[in-house]
Amino acid sequence: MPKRFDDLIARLADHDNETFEIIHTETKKMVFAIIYPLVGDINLTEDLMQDTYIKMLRSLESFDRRRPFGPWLAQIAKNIAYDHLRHAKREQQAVEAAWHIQMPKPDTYIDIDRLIRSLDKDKQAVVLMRIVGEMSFKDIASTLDRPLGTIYSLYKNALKELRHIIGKEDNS
Amino acid sequence: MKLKAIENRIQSTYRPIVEKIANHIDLIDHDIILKPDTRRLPSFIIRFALRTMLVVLFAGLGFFIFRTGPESSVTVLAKSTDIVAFEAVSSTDLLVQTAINQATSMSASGGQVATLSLVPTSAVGDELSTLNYYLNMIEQFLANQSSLNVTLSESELPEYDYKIVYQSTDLSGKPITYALYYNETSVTDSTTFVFNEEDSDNATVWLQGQITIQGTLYLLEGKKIVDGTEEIYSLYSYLDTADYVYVRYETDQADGVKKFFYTVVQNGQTLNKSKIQVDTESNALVTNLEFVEGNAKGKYRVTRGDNGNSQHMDVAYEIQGPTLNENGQIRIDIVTDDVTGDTRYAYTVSPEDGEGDHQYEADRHDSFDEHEDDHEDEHEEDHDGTHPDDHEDEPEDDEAPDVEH
Repeated sequence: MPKRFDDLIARLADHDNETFEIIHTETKKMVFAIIYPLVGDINLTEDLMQDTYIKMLRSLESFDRRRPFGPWLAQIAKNIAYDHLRHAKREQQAVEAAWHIQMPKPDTYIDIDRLIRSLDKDKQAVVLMRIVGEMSFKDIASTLDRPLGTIYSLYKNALKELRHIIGKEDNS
Repeated sequence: MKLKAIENRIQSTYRPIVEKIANHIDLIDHDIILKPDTRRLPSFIIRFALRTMLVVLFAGLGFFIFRTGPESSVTVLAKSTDIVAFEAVSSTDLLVQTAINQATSMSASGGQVATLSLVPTSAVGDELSTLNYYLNMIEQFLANQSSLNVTLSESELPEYDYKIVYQSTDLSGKPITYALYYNETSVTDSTTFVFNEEDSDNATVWLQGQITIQGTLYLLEGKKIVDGTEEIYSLYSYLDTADYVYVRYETDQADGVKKFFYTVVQNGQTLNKSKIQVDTESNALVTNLEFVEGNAKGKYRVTRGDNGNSQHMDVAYEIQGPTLNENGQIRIDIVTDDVTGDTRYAYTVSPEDGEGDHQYEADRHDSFDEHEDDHEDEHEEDHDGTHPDDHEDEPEDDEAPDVEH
């Protein structure tokens, strides 16, 4: 989870671009890791990440600066994604996963994204928040509103599941 | 393959993606971020404009606070477990009192409230039998200051995964402990709720549990419902599907403030509906209760008397009816029977335009301390959330074993 940004928030409230860049750099992995497992589409994730930061900036006045910034931003990202899903559901627009960006393909290439997305939604979220978003288990629990023990179990079981699948694919 | 290697693979897969799509985000085009080459106004003009805006902002803010009270429920109910605990304890407390009232065959306005005044009764006197239920319930929370003392731990009951303990004191200083046990699961297409709400389809998390009060077990069903950007926490405390108290924590469309909305149902009939807003003011908890339907009416602002040093509650009330409007103050003292040691509420009602005070007495149920001999585990905030036999390839993370809820 990104560190506290107490000293930066005041400057951000003045819409200082450099400050935003710092915060954006520190938080973008977390925001991605929250949105992507929910919507399952990279281009859509990009749009919703932008919406998240726009909403964050427009809501900054309501942010209680006694509280940590990261979980607040995480909540916005989650709500933006849920909001999108609700609208998509309402309009009966199935959200289909699309993978438009060329994946890096090392020599031992295995489509990790496909494997991740074969996990159930909770496990996808926990794995991506933990590994890509670099969030602590505690912050993941807070963001997903689940007990920490559940989050930890989901994470371990997801990795074991992945290990099992990768082991099978490596051998085939 | 080691789990660490899998983590590395995941990292190397997604990080380039994040970098690539994050670079596409250009907030400058949205007129939010000042462009680097924007010609800025002289700083003194900006400072003047800011000062002017602040004056206007604070003037408006002051009006808002005066009208609605400080919006500090975020602090009081900082965590979802606080909300669940408040919902479970408050709704079950109301359910207990409703059930007791039914068991003792008391009518809604019958033997529970005794009028002691010789002067004509006030309008609020007609509401006291129902209000008394709520004040008994609210007393369980008034000793709290800026936050509730709620802890989440693993359940010692095999049929439940989690345990939430709410601890406080009543106005007599007697400790209160409630423990509720529950399981929570993600909602799937096959989830079958006991109670269905209009927006049950939007539920994402399902909670099933129990709470025991005075030896009676009450069942709980809760849902986390996502409605747009709002997360609604609903909970039923029930004896059966015809006798329950239903509470939802959501934004009041009337004023945009988060409140608890209660529905008390007995024998399938709705007895009353109310809404409660929880705030803190001067480091003390304040509840704003408003009856919206059923056998009671009025608005009541309940605080602990004398800055928390006294065994009484203060209530500012406002009742608007078709034929009578009444505002006033109520002081509720806890009086003890010298012989039995039982306590009761003594109401002193002072209508603003009345001819004098009105005296009433009403039941006060004893506070519940279900775990008086079992406190040693309840302050335990940290525990290992892992399974004893599940430490293979444990991630290197200092936080992992320190489960803090």
